[in-house]
Amino acid sequence: MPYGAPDPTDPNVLVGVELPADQEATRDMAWVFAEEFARMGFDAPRILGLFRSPFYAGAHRALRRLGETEVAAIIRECIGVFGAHTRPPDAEVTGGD
Amino acid sequence: MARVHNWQLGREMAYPYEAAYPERQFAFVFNINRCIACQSCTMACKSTWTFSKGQEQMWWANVETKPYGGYPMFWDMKILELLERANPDGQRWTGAPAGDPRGPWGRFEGRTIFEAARMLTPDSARVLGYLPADEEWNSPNIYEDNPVGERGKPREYHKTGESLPEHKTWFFYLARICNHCQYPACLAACPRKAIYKRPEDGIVLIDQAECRGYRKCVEACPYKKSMYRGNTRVSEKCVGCYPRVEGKDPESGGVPLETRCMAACIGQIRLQGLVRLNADGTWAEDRQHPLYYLVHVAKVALPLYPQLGTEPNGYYIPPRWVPRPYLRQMFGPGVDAAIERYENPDRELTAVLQLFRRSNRIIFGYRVVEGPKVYEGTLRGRTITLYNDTVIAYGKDGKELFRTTVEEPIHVRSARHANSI
Repeated sequence: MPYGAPDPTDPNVLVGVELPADQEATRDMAWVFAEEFARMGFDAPRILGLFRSPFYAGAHRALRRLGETEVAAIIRECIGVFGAHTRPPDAEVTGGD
Repeated sequence: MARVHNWQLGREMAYPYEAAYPERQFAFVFNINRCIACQSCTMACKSTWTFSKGQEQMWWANVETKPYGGYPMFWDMKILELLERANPDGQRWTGAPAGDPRGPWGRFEGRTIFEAARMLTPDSARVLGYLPADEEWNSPNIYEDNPVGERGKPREYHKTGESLPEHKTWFFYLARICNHCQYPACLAACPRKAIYKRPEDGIVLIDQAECRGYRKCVEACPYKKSMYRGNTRVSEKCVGCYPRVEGKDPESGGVPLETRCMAACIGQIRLQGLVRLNADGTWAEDRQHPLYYLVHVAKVALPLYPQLGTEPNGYYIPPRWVPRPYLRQMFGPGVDAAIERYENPDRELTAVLQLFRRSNRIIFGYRVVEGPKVYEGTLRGRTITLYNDTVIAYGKDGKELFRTTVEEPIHVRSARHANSI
């Protein structure tokens, strides 16, 4: 189906469907990703790593659209709230080789 | 047709059979805000139930990218379009979301797939539906995160993932399994009466000995979760991992286990349960049951396309960043309140959300023990107060399954021993 140019007479192809999409939707998406992963216990470098990975398409696109400075600020604010105020020291949280 | 009460629609509706409700109902909540489409659920199901010859294109559990993806292709757009044709401009809700358990989201004034059947299909049809073509089944997820390949090079993928073309709009991942509906369209459509809903847990099954492969269930299921198997010439569907739910899995030790797709979820988006029902099919009040709490108390979890009329038992916490008209179409009028509540969770909701994926045992009850205040400040201008409460989960026998805190410590496995279980 999708190897050629879209055929406007094909009822299975999305033709002329407008999806509302703006900078705010991207920003909201970035906030949600950062907050959800902060709640799950990720630290700031791990969340930023997720945004940097092209294989997490939504987060990565938000990073490219908003820029790393804004995404880092979003992550900082989320970590400020959900960043484990009762957790043991960093060594136990981050781990890894 | 009989008249049955559909509490998700807030009214009675036509259904081919008289109402009959199970003792408990298999139900689940998926938190879409957390799904990263890792497909662990999909593969857990595949490697358990559909790895055999003839099942190559059968994915009882799948994750699709909305708004443009779907398995089979465009399943939801197609059934919505059929309903719109049957009832132009009539698929509307009236009233406002309120506390009535017999109609918590107002009243759906449009037509369900059972009520619209006579308008577009022959008199013999009990359900409005369509039969997807082979090509709609055979490429789940193709061109979703990785859209079309290079022009003129059919069936050839891009060499490097990071340079793929992309859809430049919002999107989210919708994880789906059979909804084990209260009023299953598959069951309604089967001319052999080969499909039944189990009285003990509401799981919907196809009797493989009775099925003759007419594919009426495939045509009727609006979620397209009945699938035809060519080499056996019978239809198959998600079995709700019933041996695990029954506690007969060797691993379970007699305790009800969550399904494979739930247990495999690394994004921690899934929580499964067995809810008690009233005589009229509504959920019996069970205040300390996590699913009852999420659906009927916190009201953050909503059914998928309730307007189709099958009363699905899959509930979703809607993705917060998606434009509301799209979400209202997909989850009904409860969307705005659900997102508002999820964005500003109280102590109980914050604690209950920690129950997701802490155990593969089915949770039948919970209790929250208050802990100290650990943070007070703002997030995007909103005031946030965080308490490190403890939530305790209980099993079928009332014994504690586990306890966890809002600020649960995490431990990251070292890269050298990533798979050394």
